[in-house]
Parts: sequence; C-alpha cells; structure tokens
Amino acid sequence: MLQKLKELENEARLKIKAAENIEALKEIKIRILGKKGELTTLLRSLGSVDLEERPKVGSAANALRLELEMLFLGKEQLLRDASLGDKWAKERIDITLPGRPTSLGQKHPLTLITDEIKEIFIGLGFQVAHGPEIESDYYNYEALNFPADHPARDMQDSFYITPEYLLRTHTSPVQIRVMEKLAPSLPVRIIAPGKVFRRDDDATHSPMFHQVEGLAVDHDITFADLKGTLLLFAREMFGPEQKIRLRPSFFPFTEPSAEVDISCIMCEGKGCRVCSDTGWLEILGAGMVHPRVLEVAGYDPKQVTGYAFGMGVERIAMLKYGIADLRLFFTNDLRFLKQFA
Amino acid sequence: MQVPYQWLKEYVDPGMTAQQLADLMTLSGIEVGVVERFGSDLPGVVVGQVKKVEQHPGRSNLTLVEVDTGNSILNIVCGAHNIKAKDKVPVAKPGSKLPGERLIAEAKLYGVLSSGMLCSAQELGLELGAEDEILILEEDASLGAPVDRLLGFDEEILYLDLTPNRSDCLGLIGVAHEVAALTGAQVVFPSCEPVEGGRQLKDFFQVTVEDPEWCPRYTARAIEEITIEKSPLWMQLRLLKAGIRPISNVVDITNYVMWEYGQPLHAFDLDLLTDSEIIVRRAKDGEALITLDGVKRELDSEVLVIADSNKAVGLAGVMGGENTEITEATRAVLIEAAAFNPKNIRLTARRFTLPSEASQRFEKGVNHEAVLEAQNRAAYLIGELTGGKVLHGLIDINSSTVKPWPVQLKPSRVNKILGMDIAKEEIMSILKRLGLQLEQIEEDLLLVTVPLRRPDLLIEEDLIEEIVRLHGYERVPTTLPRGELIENRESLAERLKTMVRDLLVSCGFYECITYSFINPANLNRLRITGDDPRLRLIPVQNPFSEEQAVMRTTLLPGLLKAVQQNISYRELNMQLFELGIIYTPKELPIKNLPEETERLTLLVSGLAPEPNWVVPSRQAGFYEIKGALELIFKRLQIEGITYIDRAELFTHPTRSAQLLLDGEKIGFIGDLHPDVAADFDLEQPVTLAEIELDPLFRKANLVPRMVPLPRFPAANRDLAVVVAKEVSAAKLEEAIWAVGGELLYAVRLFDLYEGKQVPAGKRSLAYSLVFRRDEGTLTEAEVNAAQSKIEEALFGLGATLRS
Repeated sequence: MLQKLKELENEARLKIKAAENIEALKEIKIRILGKKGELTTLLRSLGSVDLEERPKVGSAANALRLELEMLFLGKEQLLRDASLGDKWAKERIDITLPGRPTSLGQKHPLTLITDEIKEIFIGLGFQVAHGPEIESDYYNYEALNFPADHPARDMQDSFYITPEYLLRTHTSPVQIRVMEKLAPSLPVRIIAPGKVFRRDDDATHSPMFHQVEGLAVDHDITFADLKGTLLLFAREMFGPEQKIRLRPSFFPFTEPSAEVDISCIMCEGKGCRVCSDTGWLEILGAGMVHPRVLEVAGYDPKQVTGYAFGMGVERIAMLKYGIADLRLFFTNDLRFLKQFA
Repeated sequence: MQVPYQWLKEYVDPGMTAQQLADLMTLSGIEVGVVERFGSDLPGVVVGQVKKVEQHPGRSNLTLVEVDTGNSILNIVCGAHNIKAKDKVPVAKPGSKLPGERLIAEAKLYGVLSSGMLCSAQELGLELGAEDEILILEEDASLGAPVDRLLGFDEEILYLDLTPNRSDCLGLIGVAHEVAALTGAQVVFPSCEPVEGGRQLKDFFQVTVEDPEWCPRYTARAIEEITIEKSPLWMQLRLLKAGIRPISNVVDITNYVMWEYGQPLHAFDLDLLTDSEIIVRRAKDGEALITLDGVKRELDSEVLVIADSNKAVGLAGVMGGENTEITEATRAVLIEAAAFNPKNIRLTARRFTLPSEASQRFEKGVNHEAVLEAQNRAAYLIGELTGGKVLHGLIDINSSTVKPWPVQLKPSRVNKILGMDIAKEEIMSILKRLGLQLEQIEEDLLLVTVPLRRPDLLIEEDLIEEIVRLHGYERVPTTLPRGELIENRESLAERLKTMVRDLLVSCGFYECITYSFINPANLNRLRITGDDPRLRLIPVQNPFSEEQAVMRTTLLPGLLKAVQQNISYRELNMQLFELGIIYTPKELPIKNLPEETERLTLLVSGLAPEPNWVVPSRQAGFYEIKGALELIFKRLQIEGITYIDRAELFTHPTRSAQLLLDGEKIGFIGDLHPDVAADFDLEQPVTLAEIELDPLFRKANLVPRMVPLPRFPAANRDLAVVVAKEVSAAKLEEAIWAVGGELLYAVRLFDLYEGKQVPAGKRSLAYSLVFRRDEGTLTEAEVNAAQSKIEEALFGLGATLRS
C-alpha cells in the first residue's frame, strides 16, 4: 500500500510539473484528488490493509493529499501569473536602484566605545561617576600619592591654568572625589569616563584624549578580582576568546601595579606588525589602590582594600575599529565619521 | 638603560639566552623594550698583522701594506698613517662586505694591485676614532679570526624601559640583583680593592661639605703619575654598547663604573684645583661657571657647586667645569663619588637644560652605601688600566643617616590582598632571593630588612608586589568582586545626554568631538564683544599654540573648524552636533574650580538629505535644526519653548532666533551672518544653534502618561488662507486655537506657498484641522460652525480664504 502511495506521488509530481495551462492542471487535480480520484480511491481500499499498518498508511495518505494540494496551488499561481505577462511588464520596478535613503547620522566612535565600556561595567554592578576636567593639583597629583618632587611626575607633562589648577592628566582624580564623598560607606564600585589632557602632540599623542577609570573598594577586594574583572572586560569588548596578561608595573597610586595586555586582536596572538611580533597589545594600567590613597580619601587601609584601573578610549577604539591615526578622532572629517554609521 | 648582555654576564649568569631573559624580565616588572644585536655581520673581515709598511710608488699620501691574515699574505694600498709593523688590524679581504652594503674587491690603485682594505673603526660601523685612522686591534687577537666576533658585534643588548621606581636598575649590578632574584643565580661583584701607593691623600688635600643636606656624602681619591690616552679597546667597545661615547681612559672609567653601579663619578685635574681643596657649597649670587660643554652658566644660591678655594669647578651632580677638565696634559686626577639631594639636582638640571646620564641618576637618588664602592672600583680600574698611582687613603665626608629599614609583613595579608594562596615558605624564599633579610617575629609576622639599593620598598604592599611578581602574575587566579548591591543606573542627566545623542543621530546628525581649548581670536571673529560672558576665558598657561590658548566658552569655533575641514575635503553636505562642556570661571585668575556646564551645538550646511533619487533634497538650514530640537523637546516632554527674532551679532539679522524656555534665554538658532561666514572663509551658508542643556534637563519628563483613546471618529477639514507675510505662523495658529473650542483636536500646517499664484507680500498657508468630541459623533453642522469661527478669527488677522 505504501509502495502504491509512493508511485502515485511520483506520478502526480510529474504531471503537475508538466501541466501547461490552468485547465489541464484542474483536470489533473480532479483525476488525482477528486471524489473519484486516484488517491481517494486508494484510500477507500484502506480497509484491506492490516490493522497494524492501517494508521501508518492512513497518515501517509493524508500527508500526501495535503502536499499535493499545495503543489496544485503553487502551480496554479505560476500558470496564472504567466498568462498576465503584459500587465507585469508594465508594473516592473528596477530592483537594483538604491533604497530610499534613511537620514541616520552616527555617534562619534569614541562615544560608541565609551557607551560599550559603560554597558559592560554597569552590567557588573558599577556606577558611572564624573569629575571636573579642570582639576586641582591636589586631586590630580597629591592625593594620588604623587608628592611635589616625585619622579613619576616626569611621566606626565601637564597643561596648567594656575600653579594650583590644571587640566586633569588622567581620570584618576575621580577616584579620590568619589571615595571622599562615599567614605566610610561601602562598597565603592565606579567607572569614570571623561576627557583628559597632556602636553603631547604627535602622530601617537593628542593633547586631549579620553580615559575610563575604574575603582572598586570593599572589605576584601583582591588582586585576583582585578584580574577577573579585566578578563571579563576584555572578552566582552574584544570577543570571548580573548586572553589577558598582567605585567608588573608602577603607578604612584596603586601597589601592586600592572600593565594589562590583551592577546593581539589582529593576529590572535601569533605575532604581527600591530603587536610588534609579541602577540600582545597593551591596553590599560591597573593595580590595587595604594594604602595611602585609601587613607587620604577617608578609608582605613587595614580594613578595606580596592582595585583601580584606567584605560584609553582612543586606544581601544583604534584596536577595535582598525583606526591607524589618532588624529582622525578630532578632525571631525565626515569621511571618517560616516564609517561608523 | 642599555644592558650589553655579555657585560651583564660578568656579574650574573642567568643561564639562558638574552631573549629569554628579556621575556622573563618583562613579565616580572622590568620591561625590556627590545633586544638588539650590537652590530651587523662583517663577512670576510678578519684579523691581520701588519708585516711591513712601504711608500706607494705613485702617490706620496698612500702606503703599501703587507698583512698576514693567518693563511695568506695580502698586499693592500692604504691611505692611513697610524699603523706600523706588528699592529693587528681589521682586514677586509676581497669579497668581504662592510656596513652600508659596501663590497670590497681587488682593485688597482694608481698602478698597484690592492687585495682588500684595512678598515677604520667607522668603516666597521663603530662610532670610534677618526675616519682615516685604521682601528688597531688588541695584541692578542688571533690571526685570521673574524673581526665581527672579535669586537662582539653579535652581542645582544637589552634596552630596559624602567619605571621611575626602579632606579636600582640604572646600574648593571642592580640589574644583576634583579636577574639573580628571577633566576636564583648568584651575583658576582667586581674587584674594588685598589693597590695604593705614594703619599697620603689627607696629608695634602682637604674636602669641606658646607651644605650636608644637599650633599650627604662626598668621597674623593687621587691618582698621580697618570697618562691620559685612549682606554683599552674592550672598554671602549663596552661603553659603545652601553650607548656612551668613549673619550679617554679616566673619563671612560668613570662612565664604566657609573654603568656598573648606577653611581655617577667625576674626575678633576688635580693640579688645577687651587690649594688642593674641594669645597661643596652653594654658589654665590653673581658667580659664573663655564661647564664642560663650553657654555657659561650664571649661578646663584639655589645651585650647589663643587669649588676649590677660589672658584667653582663643577655644577654638583650635573656637569663639571671646563677649568678643571681632564686633558692630555693632565698628570694627576681627583675622583669624586658623592650623593646629592635629588630634588636640587633635578631643579638644576632643568634650569640649565642639562639632562645627563649622571643627573638622571642623582635625581632618582643614589645608594649612599654604593658611593664608596664605586669610588674604590674606579680607583682599582684606573690603577689597573692606566698605570697611574692610586694614592693612599680616601676622603669620605659622610653625614648620611640612611640605614637599611624594617618593613613588617604578614603572610596572611599577602594572600588576602592577592586573593590567592601562596605558602609562607614560598613568600620567604622569594624575599630571600631579592636579597632582603628576614626575621620571623610571630607565626604570621615577618620583619623584613630592606637594603639601601631598593629605596622603592617602603611598605608592606611594596613587598606584596615583589612577592607576586616573582611568584608570577600569570599564576594569580581570576575572580570577580563580591559585594552588596548598589543602585547603579546612570544619573538622569547622563541618560538624557545619551537620549539627545540618539535622537540627533536619528535625525541624520553626526557627532563631533572638538578640542576643549580654542583660539580666543575666533570669538572676535564671531563678534562676541563687550561684557558677553563668553569672553570670560580661562587661559592655559603653557599651551602648544594660540589655537589651544583658552578653555572654550562655546563649542561654535570647534564645529566651524570642522566645517572648514569638511569643505576642504569636498564633503559639502553636513549635519553635525557636539555635546560637550564649556568652562565658566567663578573669578579670574581662578581660585576655585570653574563651572563646567553642558552645551549642545548643532550645525547644518549643504543639502539634506544627501541628494538621492527618491525624495528631493533642499538646502539644509534653520528648519532642519529646529525640527531636530523640536523632536528633543517632544521626547523630553518639555513645553514652554518660544522663539524670538534676532539671536546674536554673528547670526543673520532676519534668519535667526533666540530660544527661550519659560521666558529665559537658553540658546539660539540661526544662519551664520554672511560677513562672519566670510571671516571664517566659509564658501557656503551655514546654520547653527547652541543651547544650554541643564535648564532642559531640569524640566525633562521621561515617563509618558497615556490618555484614553477616542471612542468616536474624528472629522478632518482642510483650510487654506492667504495672509500677509508679516503675520507669523505662530500668530495664525494661536488664533486658530483661541477660537477652536472644545471640538478642535489637532492643527497641522501641511502646505506653505509663496509665489506667482498669491499676491506680492503675501503667502498661503494650508492647515489640516481635526475635530473631535469625547462623547458622541460630530454632526456636519457642528464642524461647519467650528470651522467658520476659525475662519472669522483668521480674517481678523487680514487673511482671506484661498480659492
């Protein structure tokens, strides 16, 4: 019986395919699916099938009926459309013309990256904090453990407004401002995005650029927590396969300190020109908040610990979007800006 | 800091290649920027010995030299005159290659066949000796040996990028301590015991330190019967590999020892020190000194000088004086090894712009103990290498009180801070490898004694970093902080900023970021004058240029610059915005933090939308910006915005408006005045707007309230009127609403026409009116009545129905 159904199906398919006009198709349909049609007849003889086989054959026959009905419907539409050839020709559109332009602009790539960073850390339970761009020497340096004649100040050349005020050289002063405001309550978990300024202007330095600071202070924040947070960040930002590498470094306001590398996103760590064949790209500095900084900001370093990190937004945007020249960020060239739309 | 690997290996053998060591150091805190070979290979250049030197038959300034290269005798024509028989020299045999792709071949020179070339140091790529001076190799060089190997051209040099806290690695012995800690190897210290002879230094020489605070330690030794000449080739090569130019034996040795110990030394011509005396004192006002670079320096009491009884002979720690310089005539020298106040050295080096290897080290602070070691090491080397006589005794004026210091360390705290579990034994083993002394006070308390060479290790956390960096940062686990939940949605203002950006992007605007500092001249070009608050500018003290001289009080100059740039790239159609901070001083010069407030600036120019085949483009202007702002107002549910004529001196007199919120000015929209546009060299019309965001954000409401849906159908009517141009759209709409009564539901202007079909001075406006009643369907008569009233009201404004 199943064999017969199969034969019927094959035959029907051939006939439907071969039908040349609607009348012929209708005739075929009646012959197969009509009250006295082949399939109907076949179904009537179901009674002669084994009791066990019967449900199987019955459902196969019904499925075939449904399928053939669809085939007839499709073929019928095809034949009808073919008969109205002139009408369609008049109504033809050029599908290769460009679509109606949507007048959508785009955010600056640095805003896109900053938004992405914020999203990642908000998801981790961080608040977003802000601080002034014109900052006092105290918050920019002194409270961050850069004493007046500390050699680390050599690393940063600042734009001064007065001897006491300057354009902040990093977003780290926000750490102090936030802790001062919150102490002694816990936990502190913030990121602080913003503009920073250094007296540098060449192909790889801009006098103004953007950083995102991170800070977590609580009863037992650990160096391992810092590493975990940054690994998670790297994976969210650059993909789930990302690896990170911490190297010991020095910042006056963290101890222990680390430079953080991600595996090179261009060569996946194999070594290429972008990563100078090391397989690694430096993306941020981090460390455990220096006890003196905690103390200055109003926390007891014996009771609480914290970690902090700071990253350059331009650096991340350059890596993520493949931007080679830092200066493009600030010339506002539409040929550049439009690439992020 | 350049570390020649073979030189380093004299003090420590890490048992690995230079590259392996570099990787290990980088991962444990001393970043090795690059590992480079000292020189390129010199294929075919071998050691030869001069057999005889004869005059060239044709040319009097040339010689014929016969050299033995071990397996062959070569005859070479040579232009130099500093060689004699038995000298060992570098011979570039025919077929050899010198730096700069220079190939050496047999050649006839003035009739004589020359089978190769004798080389000067410079020809081999060394910055040494004169151009026409053949390099004389050491006597024990073996004949035929490759010269590149002999000179250590294959030696690798590690370039350390030191962080400011690791000044201990500004000397090879300090680096050796680090390497020993990393690898477990032993540090081998060089010989420091000079053989003394002759008279007692103290018997005829005196040192006085007048300012012990600025010079906590001063040591001196003297060497007599010395001949100033070149130092041995091996030492010159080592200095070259360290990046130091060799000068003469004594000066080279002081530099060599500086590279070993990180302790700068200075050599004076002993015979030129009047009254055999050194006085370390502050300079007198008006005193002057010509330093070794030939420049006359005007001094005052802020400068520490080394002096003899009647003159300054050096800027302490920065540069020596010309008056006591070591020359070929020098027969006796005084060697100074001292410690100076780091801050004073930095100020002096800055003031005279004299950064040097020496001042760089003094600025970071030198190890007061190593002063003496370096002094003795230098004396030893001078004795060994120059044949000079190191006099008996040494003067050491030492007021230093620095002693090794104790730091307490709790192993449990190490693990608490790191979030891992390093065994106490491992902690102790690491600290010992670092050369720190340990004493166990309690089960969980160690007393660590730090030697003077590690001034960066002051508190427990410093030691924790040492422990974890030697244990390996890669072994730190990765966890996430656990803690209480905190409210962490962004502030309303920040969310509103994001919303404004999103809305503008959806209107086709591109976001710009321009510099926060501007050129004040641009405000003049904008005709901003008088007591306009935008002229209360905060100047930057040390800007790069006038372009970045003051903090911005408006974002307009930045965007106008963006327009200029884009026009120059022929990107002529633009819709730009910037959302950024302006700076308002509370007083000038500032004594408090200035106010930083958000501004939104929009700018359109050219066509919008970009020309396309579907919808027409038009010159973007006032209404594009107004439409975008209206969208923002609508989204923030802000009501109470009005517009009044004429915004700013820099805007078009009849195509600009002030924006008011509840009667208070919050900004403007307008075409840039043609005269101003010309001043900014803009070839095409520009429309811009700048508004304050804080007043908007204070009124913003983000939560829509739903009104019940109408239950009865509306009636739509169109109404077109012709009216004098002077009657504003606002006035017409106001009149419509005033009489529309409860039935009027919505009014929308859908057409505006000026031209041939209406009389001059008039325009036609067509409104779509929607009428509706909450309870029940409107009748035709009711709608007609309402519309008539509206028409009457418009007639009152001089309007007529458009037929």
